[in-house]
Amino acid sequence: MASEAPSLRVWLFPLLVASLLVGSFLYYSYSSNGPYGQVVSQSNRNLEKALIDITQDTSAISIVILGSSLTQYALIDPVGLEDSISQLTNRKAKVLRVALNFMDMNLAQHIDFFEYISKYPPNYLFIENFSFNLDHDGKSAIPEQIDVALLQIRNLVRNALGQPAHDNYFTKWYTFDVKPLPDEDFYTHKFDSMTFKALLRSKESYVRQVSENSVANKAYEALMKSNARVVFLDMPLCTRFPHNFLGQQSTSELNKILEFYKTEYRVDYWRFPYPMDISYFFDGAHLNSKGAMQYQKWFVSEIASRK
Amino acid sequence: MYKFLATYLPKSLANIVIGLWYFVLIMINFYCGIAFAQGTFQYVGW
Amino acid sequence: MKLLIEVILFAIPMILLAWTLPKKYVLLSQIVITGLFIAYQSPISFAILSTITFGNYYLLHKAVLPKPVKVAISLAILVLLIVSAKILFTIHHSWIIPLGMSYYIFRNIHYTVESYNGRIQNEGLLFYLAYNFFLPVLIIGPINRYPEFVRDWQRRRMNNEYFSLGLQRMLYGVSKIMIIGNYFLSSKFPSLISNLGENYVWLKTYLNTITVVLNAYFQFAGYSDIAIGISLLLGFRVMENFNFPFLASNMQEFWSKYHMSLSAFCRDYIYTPIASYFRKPMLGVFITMSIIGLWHEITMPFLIWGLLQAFGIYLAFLFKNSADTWLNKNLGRIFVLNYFCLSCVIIDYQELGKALEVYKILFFIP
Repeated sequence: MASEAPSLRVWLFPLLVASLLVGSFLYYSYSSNGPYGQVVSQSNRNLEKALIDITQDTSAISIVILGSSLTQYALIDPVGLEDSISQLTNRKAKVLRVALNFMDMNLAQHIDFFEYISKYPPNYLFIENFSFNLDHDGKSAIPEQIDVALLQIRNLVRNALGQPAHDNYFTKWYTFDVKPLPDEDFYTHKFDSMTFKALLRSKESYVRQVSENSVANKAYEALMKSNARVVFLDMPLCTRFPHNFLGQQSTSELNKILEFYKTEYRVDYWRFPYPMDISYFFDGAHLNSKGAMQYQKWFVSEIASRK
Repeated sequence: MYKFLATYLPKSLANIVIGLWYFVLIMINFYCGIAFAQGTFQYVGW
Repeated sequence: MKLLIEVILFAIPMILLAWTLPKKYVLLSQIVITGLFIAYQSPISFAILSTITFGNYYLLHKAVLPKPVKVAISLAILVLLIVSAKILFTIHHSWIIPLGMSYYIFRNIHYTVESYNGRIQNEGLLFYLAYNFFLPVLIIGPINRYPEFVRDWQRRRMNNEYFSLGLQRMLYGVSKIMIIGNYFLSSKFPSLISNLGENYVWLKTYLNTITVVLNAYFQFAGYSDIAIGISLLLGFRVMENFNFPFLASNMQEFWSKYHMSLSAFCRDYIYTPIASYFRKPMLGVFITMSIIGLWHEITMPFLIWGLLQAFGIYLAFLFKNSADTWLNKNLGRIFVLNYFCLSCVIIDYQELGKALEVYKILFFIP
């Protein structure tokens, strides 16, 4: 009578081949010539070039904004920002927006941001408070190295099958003025209720301790010495969520951290002054074009009034 | 499944088929695991 | 998922040692590795399980007391422990039931009752420790039986077929979790369902109900397969937990194929004594299913869920004389799937009010 499983040696082939494939893939992902290595080196080159470009003209106000996709959608048009700031301040303005998906302290270190910003200090550095002073559950569990490699393979296969490629959000690592496509929810104002429902189930954010931000702290110190103004920029979320996904206790913890940065490194904190209705967002967290207009107007007027 | 294959196929062929089946299943598991991890977190990604 | 990976990581050295160490040290190595695992995951659970193991062993085998008294004390303590843990969990949702407690309490109740029945006599402490500290089945079962565990140990030998079968079970278990559970039933299907238009409220609600239950089943069945697979790699043939339950054509058959280790335990230690004592099988069914419901959580939704399962079994009893035709069988399967999934609405939503809202949609009640 046939047994329920084959002999043990039958397992050699699938386990060996699978291990070989997975091992090769991991080697490809993590090697410096692999897709991740290429993205990082391109990012380093472009970031340095962009920083040199905006800081070399000392007559212009140089502004660098660092954040996640929240920042990307809130301040969608760096060129538009430059024009608006110039109009209000009668000075040329140069804006560099570095907005990467899933931005956090770890990711900023992947692209060596704090090293470059210390080397080329701008007049203003805006850092997204949500991504740098807070941690959140449910961040991507996939290491960036594997994520890039997978995306590349997926798009290779999709191109071969004649299907449109998946959005390569790693282009934002080296192209800093990426705009959404015209048919995206940002412009069409179609509401992404699936993401919104998932966000409603989000757990509370954690406040990062100052000691966890040593790389950034060094940069803040260097920027303070260069008389650069560093500002933690608050991103609005729709009123259905607790602000920054924080409870009462963690909000007061955050306030203590902000107070510390103010005292120690002269880092300011700018908060959008009024709550935004859900109709200004396309998923409850990311602003749509209507909301972005409001946010940009406020941002520009703040710079003009506080310069 | 092996029992079924071994009943109707010669043992060596059944072994080859089941070996391939295991390999395909392992790779699909990797794909689904990664897709699930990415998909879950992209919903709440910023 | 993290817990599963950690179980596998701890299981690897356990399996390697199981076949490289001299036989007299193998059980000890299993006890130590399992002990380390549970102490790392949940020190409270480690403390409770250790206390139960040593305490119960000495009470049953060494204490100088009449046998019925020993058994009564043992059962009282075990039942009190599980009920207290469940009640604490109900009151304070930040309290998490110690890892695996629901399962190892039942295992020890089984041990105590079998000691009373004379099927377990003066067994060595080592076997009892190994039975309680057995990693594969620790967290979510199956609720394996002590005599079979000892018998498997005594018959244990290098067996290529067991290894191959063990690897196969693990692969199938992981596939159920990853492919069917996580990928299809947790991601793709919900996404497809939510993309149905606004007018399909009933269909969306119904499909969501089925998807949630099937996801829970495949995840649970997958973890059981992994537990059985690791046990096979250690040389133990642990009992099955699922046997294609959704192919059952009535609820009685369903419960003989779904979470079999739990239903077998409840049949042997709750249903049989009650049904034989009162000579009322249906009373036994209702009490047993209520206890199965409350074993999950001591809350009203779970009690109602248990009673609904009992009612389903009662319906099977009423229709037991219907002809065993192809049509009846398949109608029965459709009934079983829908009955079980709809009965789970009450525990999916936890609040009776929300569950009633869903029932109103599903049964077209305005």
